Amino acid sequence: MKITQSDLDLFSAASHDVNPMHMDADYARKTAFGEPVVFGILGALAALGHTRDRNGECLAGVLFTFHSPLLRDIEYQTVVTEKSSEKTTVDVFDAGRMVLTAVFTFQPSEQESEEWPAERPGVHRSEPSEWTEAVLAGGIVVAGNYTPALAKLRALIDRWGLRRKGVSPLQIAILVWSSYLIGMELPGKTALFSRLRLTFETPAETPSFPLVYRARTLVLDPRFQLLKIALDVEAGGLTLASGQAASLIRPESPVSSADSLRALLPNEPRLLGQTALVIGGSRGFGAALSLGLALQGARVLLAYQHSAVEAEAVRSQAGEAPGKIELVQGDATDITWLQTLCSQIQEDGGGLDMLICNACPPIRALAFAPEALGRFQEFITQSVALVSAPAGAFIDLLAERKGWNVVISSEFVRTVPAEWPHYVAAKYAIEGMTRAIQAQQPSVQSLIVRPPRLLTDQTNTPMGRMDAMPVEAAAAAVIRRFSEPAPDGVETMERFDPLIR
Amino acid sequence: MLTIDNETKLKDIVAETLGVDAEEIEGTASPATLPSWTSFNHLTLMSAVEEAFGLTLSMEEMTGVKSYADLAATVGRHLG
Repeated sequence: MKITQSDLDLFSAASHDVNPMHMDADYARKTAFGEPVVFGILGALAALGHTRDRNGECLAGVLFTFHSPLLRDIEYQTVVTEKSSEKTTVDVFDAGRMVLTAVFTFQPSEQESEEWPAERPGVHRSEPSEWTEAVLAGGIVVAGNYTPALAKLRALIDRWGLRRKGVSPLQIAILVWSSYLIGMELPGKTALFSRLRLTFETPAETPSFPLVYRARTLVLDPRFQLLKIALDVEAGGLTLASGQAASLIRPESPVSSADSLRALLPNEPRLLGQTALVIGGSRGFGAALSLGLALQGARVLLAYQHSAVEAEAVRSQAGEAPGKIELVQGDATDITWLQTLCSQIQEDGGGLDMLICNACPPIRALAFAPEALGRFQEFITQSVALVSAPAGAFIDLLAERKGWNVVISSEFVRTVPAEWPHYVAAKYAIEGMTRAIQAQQPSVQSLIVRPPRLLTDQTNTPMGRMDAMPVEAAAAAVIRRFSEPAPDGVETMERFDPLIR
Repeated sequence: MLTIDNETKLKDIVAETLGVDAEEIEGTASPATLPSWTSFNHLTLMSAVEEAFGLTLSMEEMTGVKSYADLAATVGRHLG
């Protein structure tokens, strides 16, 4: 099955769930997933469409586990298993990696499952709620009336062939409501829907909308920000469904701290008069490097492509620094843009002392499998381009000052996590290219940086954050290296111990 | 070592959480052998084990569980 942007648009219109992780590409780009993710319930409904038709049966319960977010335009594989006549499980895989499990339980029913409730409007939010962790941990109840957009819901049912699957329009309305609840109400904006267990009641007659719902927080596990919520839905005084949902709470985007960097860097500015170009300098490790270099007195050209607001925030943080940050916007794989930038640096009468290639495409788990080879190869191509193009444009300018050619690799080239084969391959390619460039242009000083997992937007999930190193610590270690004697050939940096200035 | 009752209880929790039959669960069962043992289900599993056995696992213990045998040993240490 494949889910497209128009499927997201339809589901959002039907459900009133406009959570930005699904519907705002710019917002989603700055999450760990790098792009809008598919509504979990939409994935489960698409999975339902792969089950056999059921006559004289109705849905008794569901258990959905969203192991990993689904993304647009990927051809997912479904495995349908019937362990009994009442129970169907649909496992959804991305190249052998399980991303969704949807269990549907049915029971006999004499009721016409396609009967539509009468439409009466409910009340829905246009912006998602934002609760503090303290409020969620303290326990809250959210209640309201809900009616999906029925014309859109009909289109959704038709899109995924959900008629005759033993699921009534009312039950599908309840399922899309659960998406609205998690994405818009509780926990709202920072939600990452993880699990849904619902048991359906079978009313003697189909009640009218709106659904009347009540959701109550049960517990927030602070170790991995997992919120469990009790759910009850009724309409017209009839109980329709009850159960439990779980949602991870996505942490705030990590921002580099100038104070942390100051504490880790030498008191006196050691890079006065030097110029650095940081490719991918607006967020995460690149932002910490840019800020730290400015704090050490360097003139920093911070290159970014999309994140203008974040780039400006880094620049303003360096306001009182001995150095300064200048923003340059462009595509770092565009050799024409890079050569123009190179000419501007030369026309300004300056040179280049450090080229730091930090930019990387969004890193998502990926199996090494035939059906994923396209994404595997594309990731490597983009990753290599983000280093080869800047190196190609600036290496001669860098050589004039015996400058540093710095590439950001990863300790994963040694530890090799199984779910990131594309990332490991790309980093190996980048390291090899750096050695080849050094052989061709021995005047430059090459530094391959292999930090451990860093706390950045790329790793900013409840599980990804575990044991991740703050970017300031790794950035300070790199920056301190610039004021030490030059390496003999290519140096690989693998130690990022806490530093005392 | 777990008692037979606790071993059965633990296997039932693993089976329920990962959507597999209890008979499928051997000591070598792991994320590599069970596709549904994903990173999210790992958290769900640890949480369910804590709740069922009334114990609290440290982060090191949670991340140190690489197989069913590891889980059984960890729970066994807590239960004494």
